[in-house]
Amino acid sequence: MVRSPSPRSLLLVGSFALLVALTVGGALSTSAAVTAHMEASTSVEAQVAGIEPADGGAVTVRLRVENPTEADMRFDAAWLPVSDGEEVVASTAGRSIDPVAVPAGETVTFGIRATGEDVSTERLHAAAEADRLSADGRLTGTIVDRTVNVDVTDDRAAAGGSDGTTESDDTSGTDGADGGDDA
Amino acid sequence: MRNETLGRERLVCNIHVDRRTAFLIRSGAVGLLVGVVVGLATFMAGHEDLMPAGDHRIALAAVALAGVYAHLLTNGLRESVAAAGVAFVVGAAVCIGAWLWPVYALGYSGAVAELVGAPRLRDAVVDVLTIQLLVFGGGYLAAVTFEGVTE
Repeated sequence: MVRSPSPRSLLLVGSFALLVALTVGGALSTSAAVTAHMEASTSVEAQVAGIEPADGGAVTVRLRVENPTEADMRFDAAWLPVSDGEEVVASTAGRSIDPVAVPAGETVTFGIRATGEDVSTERLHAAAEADRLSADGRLTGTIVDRTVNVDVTDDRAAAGGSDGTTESDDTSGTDGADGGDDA
Repeated sequence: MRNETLGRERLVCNIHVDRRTAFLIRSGAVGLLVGVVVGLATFMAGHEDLMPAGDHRIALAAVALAGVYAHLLTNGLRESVAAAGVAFVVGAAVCIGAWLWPVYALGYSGAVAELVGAPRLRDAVVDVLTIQLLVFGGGYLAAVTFEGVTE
């Protein structure tokens, strides 16, 4: 013979089932929000802010790096070819650059010097002034004690000109790279 | 006939099993369910700004309530203690898993996973050792004490 459960047991089990359902639902929602937040706060972005003529048959590639993570970053190398259309006309002289610090939660704009490759200075500077040059590559550095590579993208054509950045700039430095931070 | 029924006990749904098995199934099932609630609620309490209600006290209340249920859903103190023990272990595993799940879900691997995951693992362990131990333990002990006083 099957005994029917008492009202107290039913109430107990029912209320516990409600607690389980609410907790699981809340946790799923929280987990989705945490994942979205983490995705946004761990994506370091480096974008080309501009390419300007520089002395000695070179151009200065101005990069804007946003560090939304909770750890300071430091870049000390760059691989950055500069193209005029399909043709590579300049690149960073070497992978090493003067170290650039990007503090946690901040955006820093700095310049990297790229020297011309098999192209006259006049043509390189004319292309830079005509805003025809683009740069795509990557920065290499460290965050905490780990090596990281950050892709550099050039969205200026899509954005249609000025990016409206308000960060202070620092292009001091010589011999292959200029760097600085506005911390 | 009497000897046959002495070692047996009705569990649920009219299924008869021996006392030891009934003890293990009931304490294990209650501990597992309560542990899931404890772990998930502890995880939510650690993310106050991202949880739906936006108030970690609601999650803390769920953790404490789970402690009460660990006692109410079992028969006797022995079964209750076993269920609470299982719930604590399951809750710790669920909480740590929930903290680390986004690292897996976002596909981080190698150094990045270690970089992002290590602080989350540390926070999860801290939550287990503070929220779960104190609030869940407090809720459970309150239920046991209340029953002991009012019996």
